[in-house]
Amino acid sequence: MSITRRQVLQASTLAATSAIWPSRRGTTAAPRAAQGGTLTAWGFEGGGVTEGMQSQVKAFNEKHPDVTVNVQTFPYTDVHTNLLNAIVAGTGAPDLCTIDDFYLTQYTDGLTDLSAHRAEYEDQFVPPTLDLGSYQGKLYGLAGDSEPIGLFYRKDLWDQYGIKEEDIETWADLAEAGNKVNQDSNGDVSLYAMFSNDHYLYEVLAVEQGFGGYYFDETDTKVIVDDPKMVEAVGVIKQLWDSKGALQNPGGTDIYGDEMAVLLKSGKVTCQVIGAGWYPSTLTQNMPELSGKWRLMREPAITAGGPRVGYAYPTILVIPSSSQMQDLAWEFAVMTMTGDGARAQFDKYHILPAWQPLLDELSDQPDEYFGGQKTFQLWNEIAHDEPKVFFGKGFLEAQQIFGAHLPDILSDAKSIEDGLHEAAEEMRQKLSKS
Amino acid sequence: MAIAQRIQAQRAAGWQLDRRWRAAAPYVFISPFFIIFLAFGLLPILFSLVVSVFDWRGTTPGAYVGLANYRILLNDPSFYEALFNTIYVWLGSVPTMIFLALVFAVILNSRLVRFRGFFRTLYFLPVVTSLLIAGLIFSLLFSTSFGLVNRVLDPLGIGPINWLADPNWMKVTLILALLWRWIGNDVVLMLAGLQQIPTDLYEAAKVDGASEVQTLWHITVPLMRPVILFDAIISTIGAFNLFAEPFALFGPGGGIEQSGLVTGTLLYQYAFVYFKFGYGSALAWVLAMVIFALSMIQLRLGNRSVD
Repeated sequence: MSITRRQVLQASTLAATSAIWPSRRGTTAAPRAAQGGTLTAWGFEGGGVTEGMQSQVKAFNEKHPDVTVNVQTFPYTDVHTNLLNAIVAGTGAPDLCTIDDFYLTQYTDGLTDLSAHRAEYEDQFVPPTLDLGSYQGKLYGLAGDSEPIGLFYRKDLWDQYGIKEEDIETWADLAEAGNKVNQDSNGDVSLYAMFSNDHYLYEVLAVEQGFGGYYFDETDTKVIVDDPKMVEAVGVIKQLWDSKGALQNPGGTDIYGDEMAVLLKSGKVTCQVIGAGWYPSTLTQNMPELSGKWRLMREPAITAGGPRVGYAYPTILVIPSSSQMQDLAWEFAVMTMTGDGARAQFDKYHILPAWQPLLDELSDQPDEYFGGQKTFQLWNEIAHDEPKVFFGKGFLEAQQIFGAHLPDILSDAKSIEDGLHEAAEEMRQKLSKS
Repeated sequence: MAIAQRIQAQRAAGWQLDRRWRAAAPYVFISPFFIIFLAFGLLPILFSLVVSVFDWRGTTPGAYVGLANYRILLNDPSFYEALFNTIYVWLGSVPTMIFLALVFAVILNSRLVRFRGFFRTLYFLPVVTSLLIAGLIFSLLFSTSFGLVNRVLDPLGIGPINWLADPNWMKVTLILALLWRWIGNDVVLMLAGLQQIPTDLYEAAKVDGASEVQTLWHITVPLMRPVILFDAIISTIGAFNLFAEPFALFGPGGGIEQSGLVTGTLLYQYAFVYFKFGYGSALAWVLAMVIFALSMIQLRLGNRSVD
C-alpha cells in the first residue's frame, strides 16, 4: 500500500488544524480548595496597588503562616498580556492580579465571580467603584483608587485674568472665558489645551448626558455615539475647540504628557480640564513650587443646572478562576484594598482612595497644595453624584475609533452628525453591536 | 564455522548500522533547528492562519467566521491609514538610509580616515541603545516647547515645529528617528560589502586617472548592487514590521489623526490591546503578502539592473 504526497499533506493539515484549533481552554478549570502553599499576586509598576499588596504580606502571614505570598511586579502592558496568556493556556495564572479597569470585560470568562461578597462591602467602597469592578451583574474585582473627574485650575492666573470659578457653570462659559484670556494676554496665554483626537472630554460629556457606558448603552449591545444627545455633546467639544482660549494639539502624545506639564508650569495654559483623581500626584511631583496656587472645581455642565460629573479608569484587583486559593486570594485582596492596605496605597502616591472610610477621614483635611481647599471632600461629593458607569466590551477600540474620527469634525471636514455616524458605524461593524 | 558466520553477520550488521548512522548523523545534528522551527516558527504561522478565520478573543471559544476578518480589514479606515503611513515612512527612510549608509561606509572604509574603529562603533551605537532610552531622548529632543531641536531652529526663524502632534510633521519625526537608529546597521552591511571589492580595480581606475566620484559611481556602486538590494529588501521587511519607534513616540494609537500609526502598531493594537486575535492574524497575513509582493518587485528590479 502506498501513500500519495497529497494524502500525507491532507493528514498533516488535519493533524495540525486539530492541534491548533482555537478552543475553550483554561477557562473551566475547577479550583481546588487549598489552604497552604504559595499565593501569587501580580501587579504593575506605579498606581499603588502593588505597594498596597506588599504592605500586607506580613500581616497576612501572621494569620496564615503556612502560606507564602509572592507579589510580582511587571510593566503595565505586560501584566495585561501575561494574564490573558495564562488564562488562555490554562496554566500559570496568578491567584490575584492587578488590571486597569477598562480591560475587565476582556477577561471576565477567566475570572472568579465575587458577587457573593458584594453586599458585605457595598458601603465600604466609594461609588461607583464596585459597579466598575462588575460586568453584567457579577462582581469581579475591587478597586484601589477612585477616579472622578474635576477641573484643575491655576487660581493665580484666573485671578490675574478676572475669571471666577463660580462664573464657569457650563462648557460654553469656559469657551467664552477662553476668548477673554486670549484677548487679555494678547494670545500669549491659553485658558486650556485640547487634542484633536481627545476622547477624554467626550467621555466626561457622555457621563453628563447620562450614558454610563460611554460609547455604549446600559446593555452594552448598542452604540450610542451618534445619539442626538451625543451630537449635542460633541457640539460642546467643537465650541471649546473653536474658542480662542484653546491651545490646539500642544505637543506630546496626550493631555497628561510632559508637554502639558511644562505648559501648566510655565503659565502658558491655565487649567487641566480633564483631571482625574490621580492627577494631583502629577501636579505635586512636577510642580511643587506651585503649591497653594492650584484649585479643584467640578467639571462644567452642558446646560446650566445639568450634571457636573465625569469618571476615569481605576485599577482593580481580580482573581483568575484557575486559582486554587480563591478564598485566601479574596482575603488578601480585601486586606490590600481596605484598612492599612488602602492607607499604604494612599501614602505611596496620594491617589484618591476607593475605600470609603479613608476618603471620609481625608475629607475633613485641608489640602495645602490646593490653598487649603478640602479637595477630598469635593472628590467625595463628585463620586457620590456619579451615575452607574461601566466599561463595556470593546471600550478601548471604541475610544480609538472615536479619536480617529473627531479630527474631521473639529476641522469642519465633516459635520458633527456625519462624523459621529461614521464613527458609530465603524464601531458597530468592528464590535458587533447594533 | 557457525561462530565465524555469526561474527561475520554481526560485523555486517554493525557496518550497516554504522553506515546508517553515518548517513543519518548530519540530519540528527541539524534536527534541533528544525524541531525548534517547527514548534516556534511553522506551527505558530499555521496557527495564525487558522485563527484568522475565527473570531477569537482568547478566553472564549473561537467562532468560525470564514473570511469576515479579511472583509472587515479591507474596509477598515485604520488599516489604510496605517498602510499609507508605513509606505510613506518606508519611502522616506529606506532610500535615504541606503544612500547615507553607503556614503558613510565609503568614508569609513577609506584609509585616509583615522580612528575608523571608533567611528564604526559610534555609528553602530544607536542600534544597541535601549529603545526606552532612545524614545525618551527623542521625546525630549522633539518637544514643542522645550525640545533642543526647536531651540536650535528658533534663531534661524524656523518654528516652533510641533514635531510630535502635528500630523504633517509626525511622520518626518519618525523618519528622522529611524535614520538615527538604524543607519549604523546599514553602514556595517555596506562596509562588509565594500571589503569584498578587489582593491586592484581601484588601483587600475587611479592609474587611468579616474576621480574619487567616478570611482564611486563606476566601480563601487555597480559592485555593491547585490548588497544594496539585500539591504533594501531587509529594510522593506523592517519598515512593514516597524513597531518600537512609533510606539515610543506616538503610543499604540498613532497619535493625532493616527499620523504615527503604522501597520506594526496597528497589529499590536488589535492582537494585544483589544485581544482580537482573529482580526490581528488576518492583518498579519495581509501584511505578509504585501511584504512578499514588494520583495519580489525589488528582487526583479535588482536582478534586472545587476544583469
